[in-house]
Amino acid sequence: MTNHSAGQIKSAGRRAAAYWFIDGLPEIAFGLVFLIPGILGIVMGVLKESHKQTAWNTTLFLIIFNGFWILFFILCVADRRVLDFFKSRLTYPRTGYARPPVNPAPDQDSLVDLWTPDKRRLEILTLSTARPPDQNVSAFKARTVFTFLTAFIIAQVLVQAGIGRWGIAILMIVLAVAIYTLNRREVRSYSLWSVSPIALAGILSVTVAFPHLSQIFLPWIVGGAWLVVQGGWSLVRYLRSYPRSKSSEQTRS
Amino acid sequence: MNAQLQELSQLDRLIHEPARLMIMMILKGAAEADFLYLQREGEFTQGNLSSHLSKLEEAGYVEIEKKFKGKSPLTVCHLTPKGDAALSAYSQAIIRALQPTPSPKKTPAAAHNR
Repeated sequence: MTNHSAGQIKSAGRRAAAYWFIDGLPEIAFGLVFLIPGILGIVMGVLKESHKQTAWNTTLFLIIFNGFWILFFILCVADRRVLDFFKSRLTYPRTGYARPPVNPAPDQDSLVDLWTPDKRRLEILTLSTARPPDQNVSAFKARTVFTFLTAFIIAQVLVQAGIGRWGIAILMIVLAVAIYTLNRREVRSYSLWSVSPIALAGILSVTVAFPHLSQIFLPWIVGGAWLVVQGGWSLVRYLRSYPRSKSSEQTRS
Repeated sequence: MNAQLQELSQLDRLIHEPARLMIMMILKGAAEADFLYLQREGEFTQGNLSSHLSKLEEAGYVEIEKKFKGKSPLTVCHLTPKGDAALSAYSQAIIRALQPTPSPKKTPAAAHNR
């Protein structure tokens, strides 16, 4: 017995969850929240090193930096609402609206496993428990965003411990592997090639003499830029695949 | 008639139609979806999707409402508890029908007779 039906049903839930990432907007949003403070931090590091740091630009840095922390927490709590605002102008008129599945119950499974007489495990359809576990949009925050956040905290500890240069390089390699490993079974997975720039940036950072403060913000800038590029690439592909047409406008109403 | 086969004859025919089954599966996967999403996912024509959705709505399996996301009007569909239960019952019936019947155990007497 073939299990095409199981694949179909499994994909119905996965496709709905993956649809949230089709336009790359979640990655761009979180990426920008990391990238901009990262750039500011590097600039502040350079200013401090060249003794051009003043009370005025330090205050401005702290205001903007803390502003982005607030923005980050708003995005963490209300990402669906915030992104819905942009998606309603960009995505829904092109390819329609689908609300991703809600948080799954841990005991639910998308497939029912039946055992054939020869003890071969066979995936057979179930429509009754099709809500996909572990494929939710919240997995992106838990597995990607918070992995970056952990790396930022570790980077600060490493720099303050005086092992910033090599420590950050190793941290970035570990970060790349973690991002790949944690997401490999998710609806938004990344290939080894796509995470390799994070590791490469870490290795290259050893060759550049960054100011002390800038070292802390290196993972921020690399992580943020990487997310923005991933999201931007998805957005370009999406816009090319689904140019806005008048027919879609008519269909919508 | 075999009980398993008999179960097939009692399937909910409203759901059993492939296009409607597809609509219900898509709506089961997503919490709610609009007309355009359903049309694209199921590769339906506008008229085809409308007619199937009307039948599902009449049966109380699907609820259709007009919503606004930003300034865009959307025709949003979602599965009702009745539709959810009907889909569950349908899937259970299909699973029972497709489940391989256990082969009868050989009794010592039957083995002796050979």
